[in-house]
Amino acid sequence: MIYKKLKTYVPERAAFAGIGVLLALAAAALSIASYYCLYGFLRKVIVEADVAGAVPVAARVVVFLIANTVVYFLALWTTHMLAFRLETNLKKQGIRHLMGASFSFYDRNESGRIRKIIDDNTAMTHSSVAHLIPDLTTAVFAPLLGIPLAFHVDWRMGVLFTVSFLSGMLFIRKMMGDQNFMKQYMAASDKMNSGAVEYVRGIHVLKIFKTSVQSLKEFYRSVTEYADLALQYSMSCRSWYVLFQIFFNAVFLVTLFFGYGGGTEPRVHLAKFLYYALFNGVLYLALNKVMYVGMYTYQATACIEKIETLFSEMEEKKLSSGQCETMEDTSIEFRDVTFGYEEQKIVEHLFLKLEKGKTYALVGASGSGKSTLAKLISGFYQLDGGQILIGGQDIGAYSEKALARNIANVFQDAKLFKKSIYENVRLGRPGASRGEVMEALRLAQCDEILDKLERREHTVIGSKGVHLSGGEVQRIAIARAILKDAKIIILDEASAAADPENEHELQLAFANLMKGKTVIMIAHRLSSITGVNEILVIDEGKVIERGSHKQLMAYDSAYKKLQEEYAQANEWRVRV
Amino acid sequence: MKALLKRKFSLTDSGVEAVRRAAFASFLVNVGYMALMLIAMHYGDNVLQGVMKPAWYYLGIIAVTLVVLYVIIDREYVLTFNATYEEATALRLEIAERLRELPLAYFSRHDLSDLAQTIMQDVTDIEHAMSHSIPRCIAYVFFLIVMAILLLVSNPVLGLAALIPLSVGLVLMFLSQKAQKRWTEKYFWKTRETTEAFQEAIELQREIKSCGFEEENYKAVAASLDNAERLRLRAELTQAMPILLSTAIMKLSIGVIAVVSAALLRASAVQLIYVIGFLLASMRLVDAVGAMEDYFAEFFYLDARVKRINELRNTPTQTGMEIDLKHFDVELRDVHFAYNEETNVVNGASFVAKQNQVTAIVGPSGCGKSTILRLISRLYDYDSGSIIIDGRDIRKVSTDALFDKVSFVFQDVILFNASVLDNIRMGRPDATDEEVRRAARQANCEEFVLKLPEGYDTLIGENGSKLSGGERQRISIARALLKNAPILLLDEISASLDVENERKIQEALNRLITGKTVIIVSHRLKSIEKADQIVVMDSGRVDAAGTHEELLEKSALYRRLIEKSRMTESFTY
Repeated sequence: MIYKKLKTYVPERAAFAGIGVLLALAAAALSIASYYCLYGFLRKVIVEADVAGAVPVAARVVVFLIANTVVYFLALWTTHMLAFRLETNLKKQGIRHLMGASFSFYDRNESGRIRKIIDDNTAMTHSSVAHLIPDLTTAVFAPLLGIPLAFHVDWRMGVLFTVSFLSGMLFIRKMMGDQNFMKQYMAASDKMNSGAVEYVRGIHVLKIFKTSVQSLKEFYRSVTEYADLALQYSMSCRSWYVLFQIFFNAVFLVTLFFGYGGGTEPRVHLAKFLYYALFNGVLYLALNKVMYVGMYTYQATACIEKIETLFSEMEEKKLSSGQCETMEDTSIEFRDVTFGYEEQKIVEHLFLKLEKGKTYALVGASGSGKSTLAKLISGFYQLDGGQILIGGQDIGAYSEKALARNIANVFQDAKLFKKSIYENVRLGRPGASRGEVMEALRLAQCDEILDKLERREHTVIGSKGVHLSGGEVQRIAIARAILKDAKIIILDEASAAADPENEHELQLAFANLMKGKTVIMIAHRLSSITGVNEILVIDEGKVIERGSHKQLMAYDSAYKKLQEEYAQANEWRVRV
Repeated sequence: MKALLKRKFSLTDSGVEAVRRAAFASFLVNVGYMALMLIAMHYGDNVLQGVMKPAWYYLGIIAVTLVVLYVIIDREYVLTFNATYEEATALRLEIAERLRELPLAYFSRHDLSDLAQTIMQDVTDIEHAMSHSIPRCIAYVFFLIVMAILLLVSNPVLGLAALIPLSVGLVLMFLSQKAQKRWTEKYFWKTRETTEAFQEAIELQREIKSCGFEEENYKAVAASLDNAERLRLRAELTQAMPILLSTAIMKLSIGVIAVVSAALLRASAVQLIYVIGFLLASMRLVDAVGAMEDYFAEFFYLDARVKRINELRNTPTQTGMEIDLKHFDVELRDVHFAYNEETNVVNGASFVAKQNQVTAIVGPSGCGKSTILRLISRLYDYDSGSIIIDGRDIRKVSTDALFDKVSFVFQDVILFNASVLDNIRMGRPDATDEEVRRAARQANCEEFVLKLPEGYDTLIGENGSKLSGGERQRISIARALLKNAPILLLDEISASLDVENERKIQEALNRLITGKTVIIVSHRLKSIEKADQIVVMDSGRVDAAGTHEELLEKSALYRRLIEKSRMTESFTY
């Protein structure tokens, strides 16, 4: 049951669930006790005409009602403590998993979406659990404890009460309508929501092209279909709903006729009848709660499922890391490597050797697999076949730390922490001296950035009034990489385009970073790579040509064609 | 009443009407349930008076009541649900249309995906409230008032005994909502950092890993989560307590009636049948609230949602006259604009872009060049100065009339999860399939479109995710070609890095710009060298304008930009 599963996430407060149940049970008992006293009161005033004796009985009704409130509140409080801890723990687990997730997970899932899944679902799980336990307990035990009381008053009432309770359960199943519906409904709602996101994101285009909602057929349809589905569902529950309402509000009237069996004194029967009329509500309320409980359980199950799916996706293709802490030799070898993000393979049976200390440029059309090749070297992807060796050792033999320390990735979309520039750079090597940090900043061409800022390197990223362009962020990230002094550098030159008029500074920063390292660079500006040690032309995940610029230009190579096209595109002018 | 409903729940006229009818039906349902209690009371009265009516007498009354009740409840159900979903759909479409009319400034103040989802969720919540809580809560309150009068008239003392706990409970419920709102606001700000820490951990995970920073980061986030948990527990305590107490206090009315009536009976100040009647009536009132507990919570909870929708409705849209513009020179005169109060992005820009000419805007990033395009298209309205087209200040021209004459190809291509055909057709909704195809051919789209599984009818995924960057760009050009508007704005669109695609985009572009007022923002200085006019911008002002040759003479900034781009191009690693 869902409930057990949830408990495994909060071992430290597992007992709270039990306490919550016990408290809710006690509250239900107190509530039934108040009805018992109410019955006593009715007997005193109607049958025994003992008005003086009625006063203390009436007072007891009040006392039990108050006690019921207090105890129920405590029950709720306990389960809320449990639920809050559950939410926190699920989120912590989320962070744990996120930190361990493979890079291919992040390639496939956008960060905003991940956060939303975790946030939304943990919050939902929380609210379900907070109410699930006390409500379920009350819904079940209030009627159960009511049965003996009803029998005590009159056995026929006991039977009626039991029968109504059981048929109530049946009613609820019927009223829930089609069980598959909830799934359909969720799917329709998701579709509508993603349509809405798309709509808002493209709002400037929709404005300029005067596109109406109706002409965005997919979105429009998702809105109307959602409503139709919801209405259909409501209507499918209609007659059962109506019958339920009538049955449980009127069923007490059956007991009126128990007085006609003969033998019972009319006033005695009247007291019993009135008691039942007042007591009947217990059942009605309990069944109402059962319906909510059904909803909460469904929600909790769906949410925990979504979270666990996400977690297991993170675990997928996760790498096991080895013990080797040092990396002396940085020559790289691909041995029969096969890899794909999904079913489709991007790289198949690839063999490739790269020497240490040299600079390699990968070129090729977008989608050729050049970025993938570079990423695989980082060691954060699980191969589908073959192995990658660094310094003659399988990449898996190195510890995660060794890989992180020795391989620096310069990503296209570099990001900085909300710390000072100085601290951001120092993260590259926490033991670095101030002089070293400042030197790294200088080499990454950041001096000019610091000059613009009042607090220079102590400026906190993301604070008010601090605006850095994409290229500037990139340069600070490069300073971090320079400080880290990793032996292998993987960089994507596309990042240079982030900030065209500062592209040259970025080029200089890259050049400083690359000095004396083994470099794998994804080249876009083909004019800049003419001097690298070797150029690898990638097409459909294969190295189709390799050699120096001179060698490749000497014959009718694919590389030569690319260079010519590049030059041509570069010479293009807006025609007038 | 009607106006109040409209304002309070952000409903349309038909929605208000529907709620009114549903509430009336729900009121009748309450009356019906009370009728059942009246039957019980009638029976009690007869017994106390020693009158024994035959069983079929009660059976008859009960049967008639149940039939009537069935009809009423059924009507109530149908009325509420039918109205609800119609209203919700209308509301969603209205909001979508409304969003499109708002100036973009509205969106820059909100997180886009949040905005979309919140609104859809808001409507779903309102929809749920309409079908459940709104009519029922209104009906209950009215019913309570009617009952209160009846009870007070028939016996003031017992009446007060029944009503005081009930109304104290209701008031508490209401007050707790206010307290909750205050807390939620406070809580929101305090836990915002938790959300941010969480988001940062996700976004920066690569950086975290490559700096070996995992453990430290986990501890920081975990501490922040623990802190948030404590805060929320406290918030919950202040809001859950009163709600819970409120229903419990209402229940007390039964006990209070018992105590008070015992005292009254002792003093012979009341007849027994009244006591019975009061017990039955207030039990009914209390049970009704019990069953509606969640409805009341929902009823009060709607405020925030309604407020968001109303804010959307009350944001002023851009106005202007419907004019058919005939001449398409675009003139900027001392234009000023700021996205927010902090800094002016455009700071007194003036220049003229002539019809049938290409005007290029260049300058360092952040100089305001892209913003100028947004101002010319009224995606944003400038703060002062004027932009003149066909002798008119465009702030006085309706956006509809202006958009008829303006095409905009954005740097970030936006496509929709629809067919290729429909994506291009957005340029001119009444275009025939053949016209759409022609535009596609001119934009060099056809070769890749025909390779798609269903050709032009292929759904291209969310934001065209099934296509490459260059292909997406070409579709957006086809869209503009189809529209064929006389003013064409191009924002950095030749920034693609894929050589082969780039050439095809360039060819398509040259077809697109023929015979129009073209304003192009570009950082590739070489590509716009031949433009009729180049406007060099710096910090929101026009530094200089003229042809390439003229600018080399007179603009130091232009020379510097050219020099930099030369250095970049000749650089080798």
